[in-house]
Amino acid sequence: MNIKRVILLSAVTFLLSVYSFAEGTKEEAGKEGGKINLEFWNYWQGKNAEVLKALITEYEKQKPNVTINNVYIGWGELLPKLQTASAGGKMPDIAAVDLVWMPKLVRSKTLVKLDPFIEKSGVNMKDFYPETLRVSRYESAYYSLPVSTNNLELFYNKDMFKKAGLDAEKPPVTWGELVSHARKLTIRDGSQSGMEVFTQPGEGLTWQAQVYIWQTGADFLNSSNSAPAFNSDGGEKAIGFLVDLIRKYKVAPLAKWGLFGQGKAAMVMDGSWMVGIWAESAPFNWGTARVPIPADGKPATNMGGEQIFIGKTTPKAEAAAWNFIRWLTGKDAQLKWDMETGFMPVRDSVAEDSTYKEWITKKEPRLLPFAVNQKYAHSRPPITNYPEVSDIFSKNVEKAFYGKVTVREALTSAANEIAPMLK
Amino acid sequence: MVKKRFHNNRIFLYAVLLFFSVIIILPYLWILTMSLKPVRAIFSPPYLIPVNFHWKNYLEAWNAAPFARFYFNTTVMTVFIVAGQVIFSAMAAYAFARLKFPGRDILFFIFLGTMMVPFQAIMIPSYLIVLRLGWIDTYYALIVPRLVSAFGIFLLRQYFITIPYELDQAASIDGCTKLGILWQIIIPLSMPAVSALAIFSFLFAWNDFLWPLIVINKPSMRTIQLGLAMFQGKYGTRWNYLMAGTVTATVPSIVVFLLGQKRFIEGITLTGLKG
Repeated sequence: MNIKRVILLSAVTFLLSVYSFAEGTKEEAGKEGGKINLEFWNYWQGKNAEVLKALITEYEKQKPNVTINNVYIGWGELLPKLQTASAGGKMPDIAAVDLVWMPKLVRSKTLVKLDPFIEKSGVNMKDFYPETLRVSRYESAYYSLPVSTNNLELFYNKDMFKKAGLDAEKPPVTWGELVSHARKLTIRDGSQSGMEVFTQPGEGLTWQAQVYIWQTGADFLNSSNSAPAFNSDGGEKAIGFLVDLIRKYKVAPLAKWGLFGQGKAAMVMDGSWMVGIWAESAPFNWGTARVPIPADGKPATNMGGEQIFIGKTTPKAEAAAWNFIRWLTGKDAQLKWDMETGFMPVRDSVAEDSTYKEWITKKEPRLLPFAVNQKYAHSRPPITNYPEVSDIFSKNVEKAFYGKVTVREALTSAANEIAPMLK
Repeated sequence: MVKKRFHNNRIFLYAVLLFFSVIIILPYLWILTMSLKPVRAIFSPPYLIPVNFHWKNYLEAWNAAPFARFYFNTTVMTVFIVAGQVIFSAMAAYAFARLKFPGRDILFFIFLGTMMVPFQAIMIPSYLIVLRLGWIDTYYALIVPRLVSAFGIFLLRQYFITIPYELDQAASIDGCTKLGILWQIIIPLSMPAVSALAIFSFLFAWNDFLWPLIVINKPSMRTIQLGLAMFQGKYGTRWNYLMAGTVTATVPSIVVFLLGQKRFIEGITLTGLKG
């Protein structure tokens, strides 16, 4: 009898308490007067989030009738959350997402077309680096703007360079020098390797390999993204170079990614965001340089970063959201954003700005190679099934890394698998 | 002679047990050690024996997000899910084990069948229902869809049918109602199964990630598991905070497991053996 009462009582209390909580939520969501509340989803955390919050506060001061509700959602969670939100027709007002997600998101038909806004506000789209706009466009209309970008360059451990008798201020410039440096830096007992190559299947491997492919002048897919292009002489040369590092010169181990940060590899190609992370966490001296290129090749790197878009809501909220994203991607906000976070400029006017140039040379010269190479950054192909394409490519290349197939066999087999997916 | 052999067996048994306990405890030791390291030492040995005691990680992890609120949310959600699953499973299981009505067994098998459908398959439809009800960012969304568990019904039904029917008959001759029989006779006799279900549903609710992720947007309504995911980012994971947060989030599960260990193991063997 007693148990029954306790259960009944707690059930009633539960219903009452949940009810009061739910009521509170509804009131909060209500709008007060002419104030516009915009919800902004993004995955920026740490320093990036702090800078964003400061920028939002600045914007809210300029526009007292607008409140921007900055909602942090983890990187692994944001895409599934946006997909469920778009299925339910309840998109956030604004979201900043990984640029590789754009082809998927834009086809959900829940993003606002930006062209009318761009025309009305007279935004000079030519100021954005053209490659950063490749994923913004769909069916010859803009659906997003680049808000931040980054790229891959060479990091090297200066302590290891000195110990190996190399000049710590002269990192390798060509593929040939990369090999000779890496051989001197490799300790044969396995404790230290000269170079770290991404050898596990997945996008990590693909987006690193693409840099070497582009450096030879070859491409990953053809210009209309309708067929693979990596199965060419250039592609073979690029992947062959990586296989040589692993198998012929034995300077890069087949190991889990992360050796450089653990002080077990002397060189690695990694993203500009690692400058901030390793400045704080690496227990050794390190420097950066532009990724070495083949003797007859050209500079190239891979582009990462975020695109910002407006979710379909109400005309009033969409217009307010446009004002915010126009401001955030504008030159003034971008200058602050790039200098505080270490993201690379998406606009030529920021990269060429004297304040920016002075900041990068004096404050964080290790970002210079990234800034210099940003204009050579390629965008990954804006196709919806890019993750699957990348996966197939990486799995085949991995086989070549392990010496199970030749480079040509790996690329041919990847191309045969990928070709029908692009039709 | 006999005594000595017994002794040897014991040593062998303890050696095997020790071996497996070490294997099980290693990841926890690793988490604990990582959680106490300063960020620069994260990837340097030792990995299993804490030598640094950087307790600040715990404070900083706790302050990195409103974790007090996350704990409150998870606790509310867990308490009601456990209560709901135990109460509703007991009532449904009683009907399936004791009452006679047409289509009973077919209905039971349909319930069992729902256990085969992966959550991912019903995720979007469930989300849409919750959205239409206006429950996004509320405790309703976190609790109501998970108040009933097919597994719980199955677990209790299998236990209930082992209890002699004569007890029910004797009680009903004495004037006990059906609900009275359930609460005063069946449930007290089924405590091993009921506590096993309670522990299972506690662990399920405490550790659940995907559903809270989908139905919660507001930071103030997030659960601990969502909070922990916040330490993993595209531009680097804050390992020391993540590990410190994981240690604090795991403690309640370990306490519940230790308290109900015996029942928990009974529960697992029950489901496997009886039926």
